[in-house]
Amino acid sequence: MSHALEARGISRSFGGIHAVVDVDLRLAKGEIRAVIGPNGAGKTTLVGLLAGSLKADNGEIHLAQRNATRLPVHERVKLGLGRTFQITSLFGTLSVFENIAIAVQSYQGHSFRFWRPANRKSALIERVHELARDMGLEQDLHTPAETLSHGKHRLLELAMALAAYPSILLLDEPAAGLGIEETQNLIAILDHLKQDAAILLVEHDMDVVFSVADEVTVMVDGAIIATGSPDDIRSNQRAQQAYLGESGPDHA
Amino acid sequence: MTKRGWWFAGVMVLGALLLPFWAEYAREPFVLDVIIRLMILAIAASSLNLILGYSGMVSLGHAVFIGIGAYAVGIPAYYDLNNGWLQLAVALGVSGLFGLLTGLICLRTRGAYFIMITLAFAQMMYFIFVSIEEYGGDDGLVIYARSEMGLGVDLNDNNQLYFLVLICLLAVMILVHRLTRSDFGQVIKSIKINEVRMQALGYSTFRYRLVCYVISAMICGLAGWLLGNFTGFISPEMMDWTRSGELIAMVLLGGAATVVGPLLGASIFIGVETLLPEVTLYWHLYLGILLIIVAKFGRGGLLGWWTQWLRGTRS
Amino acid sequence: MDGALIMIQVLNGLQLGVLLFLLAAGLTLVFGIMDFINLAHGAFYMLGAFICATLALWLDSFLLAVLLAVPITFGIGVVVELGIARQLYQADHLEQILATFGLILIADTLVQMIWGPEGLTFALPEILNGQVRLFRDVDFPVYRILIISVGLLVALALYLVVSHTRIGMLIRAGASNRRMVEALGVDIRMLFTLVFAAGAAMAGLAGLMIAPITEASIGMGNEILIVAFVVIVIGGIGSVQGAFFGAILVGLIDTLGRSFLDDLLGLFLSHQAAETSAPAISAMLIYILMAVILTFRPKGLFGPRTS
Ligand SMILES: Nc1ncnc2c1ncn2[C@@H]1O[C@H](COP(=O)(O)OP(=O)(O)OP(=O)(O)O)[C@@H](O)[C@H]1O
Ligand SMILES: [Mg+2]
Repeated sequence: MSHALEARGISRSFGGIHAVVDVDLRLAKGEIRAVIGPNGAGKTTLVGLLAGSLKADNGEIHLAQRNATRLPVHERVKLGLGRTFQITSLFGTLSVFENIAIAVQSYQGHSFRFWRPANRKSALIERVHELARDMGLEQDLHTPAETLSHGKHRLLELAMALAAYPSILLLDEPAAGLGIEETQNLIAILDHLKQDAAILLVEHDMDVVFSVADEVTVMVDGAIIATGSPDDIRSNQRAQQAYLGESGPDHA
Repeated sequence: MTKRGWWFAGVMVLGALLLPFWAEYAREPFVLDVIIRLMILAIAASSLNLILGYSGMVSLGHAVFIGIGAYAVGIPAYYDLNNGWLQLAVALGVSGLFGLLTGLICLRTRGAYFIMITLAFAQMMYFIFVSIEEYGGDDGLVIYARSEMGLGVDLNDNNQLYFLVLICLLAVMILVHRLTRSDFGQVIKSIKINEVRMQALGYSTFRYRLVCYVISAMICGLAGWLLGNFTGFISPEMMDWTRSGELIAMVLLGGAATVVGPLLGASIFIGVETLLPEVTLYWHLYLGILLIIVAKFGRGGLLGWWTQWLRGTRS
Repeated sequence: MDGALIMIQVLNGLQLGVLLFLLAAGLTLVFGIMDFINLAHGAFYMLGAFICATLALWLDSFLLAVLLAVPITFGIGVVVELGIARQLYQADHLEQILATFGLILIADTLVQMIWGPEGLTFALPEILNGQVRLFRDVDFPVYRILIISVGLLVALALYLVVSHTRIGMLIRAGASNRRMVEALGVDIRMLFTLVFAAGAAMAGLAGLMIAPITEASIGMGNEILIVAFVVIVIGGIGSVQGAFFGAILVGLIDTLGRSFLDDLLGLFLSHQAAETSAPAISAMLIYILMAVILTFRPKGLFGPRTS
């Protein structure tokens, strides 16, 4: 079976800290793979390596059957990759509409137009509304992004990542800080999304992990220590010790 | 723009159109000269505003493009090539090319490094022209003939030059207005806010910043072309880094990332430069103090109310 | 090209190098630690020159003038830091540029008000006026040797302070991680004042040493400041070592380029072509050097590596 994303032996260190060590990872369409692990395990670094915002020290990354190891971030997006950030990364002073529109504009590809006013094309407006509707942001289209609630920030992040119909999605703790209802909503969205995409889900919230993940990978100190189905992981000694058992998941 | 803004713009344009007639009537040709210079600097400041205000690239070497534009008049004229269209093409072409080549290097860097590298490249050009004795070196080059435009236009007539500069200024302001509100403008403004996010959305931010930089360079080259014609003299001093500093001051004095800001800033600057020396020999002192005040309180402070008023109350 | 000339030009390059270092050291530290772009740093260079010239004329002693002018420039540095610079550390680079550009105008005008628009010259004492024989037939001015020695001594002293003392440790820590220094409970503001004023004093020293050769003139710091910027960009912002190697490199390349490039080009081009192109190309050399270095190391030779 062909994989949407494949990482072989990728590593990255910062000075003396080995943030990601020799990680192998495969991800296919229709699959949600959760990556869990304690704080500082290297999950965000892994996402950065896959997305291209960080350069790997060693290893290879393939996206959509292409060697993407040396491709910059924006080229990887062209191969179908989309991501959200653990620390919300938006255009704070712009409206929700403009935030989503700039994402849609990237996909619809008309950014070298210099004269006609932006955000007037019907295809763009339609798509923005569609994404806002899917994320329940329709009421907020004209508020500045920075004034939204935390939960809505997370949803806006997701809306922007989805604008380009990504076939590979890297989500860094999308549920962090969401309320119960918002979390349920997110779970439904993820379930729906996986039909068309391969999803890597970094998450601390075990309810989310165990209700949507097909596979779970446990990272500790930059390395993968266990990987398997949610049931396997639940009963896996090492995983429990390293993460689930001792201190319990961190919901912060 | 708001209704009030349009009214204001209309009155200004009307006033600008009538000014030469008034100047002739009142026998104040000097006023016309001051306003021509003001408008040329406003064009240059507008071009800087495009990269500095709208896309957050702080260049401290922008005056180099004024110099290039001016030498594009002076050097051909030195060889008796007075065709204005040719000179204009050279001014825009060489400015754009220099912007492209230096941009390829400058734009790889960020923040303070970018500031210093733009500064260094401008200074490089400065020293190159200082060292070329054929074109006057340090002493500069006198341009004996203004550009010949054909079409019945005679730039030796100051009134006609005035109208040409006015048309260029209006065209540039309209261009900046449209550009910054276009798809492309949306991209550069967003890059300024959050470049990492833009990359994650699939934008090759380098390319957009480079294009913006080159456009800005060419507009500034246009200002240089006009300035060369106006002053009839060019010297490396025109691209000295303190000239670039003055352009930054104009943009910030008037209000960065606004269409009228640079014009406003150039007006204040020229106003200070023209009026203060009448009062005191040491007028630079007061200009310096003004700049420090603007730096400390300027963002929407000293002149913010003015731009606020032009834009109407923010919706 | 004969050996003697090359040797003399190498020494001249070294002299430019140490002067650049004295300017760049303060610039790079202030920049690295306080994140403050000070376009007005060249003003201290100018002030050092004017103050020393005045004192030398009054006291009729160059040595005394130097010994007084350096602490005075230090004091001015303290005043400027407390009065103005300190307020700007938190501002963004754009505001810093505008404000320090304003400071240049103020400094230049004040100098003009005090000393008038003309430059100020003064003669060196007799002992410094001679030449020394370095080599069989190579003579070199004593005073220039002195400049080089003083520059190198200051560089050595600065290196020792930065790498072997507690203050130096704080400075290094401050350059890489400001918060950590604050977490150590150090009065960071004192440290800032000290670093700023020391930078001012070094710039003043450079200015006063060059003054007897050129003269003290208004705006003399503004041009060399840009070259000092090139130096710290090449060396890596915040790195004293980088400033040193960058300064020497730039000093040598600039000086040697200006003196020998036409001969060098003459090997490939016609005499005429070499004569005309050499000045322009040698004016570009250090900027080309900077561009090349930045292409491979966007944060300079000694700067932090990028991800
Ligand atoms: N840019 C960086 N520079 C230096 N060290 C870094 C950098 N980014 C991450 N690290 C270090 O690498 C390790 C892994 O960090 P990472 O953010 O990937 O962990 P994480 O698993 O995402 O943690 P969390 O659950 O808290 O988000 C940590 O020790 C962190 O301090
Ligand atoms: Mg993380």
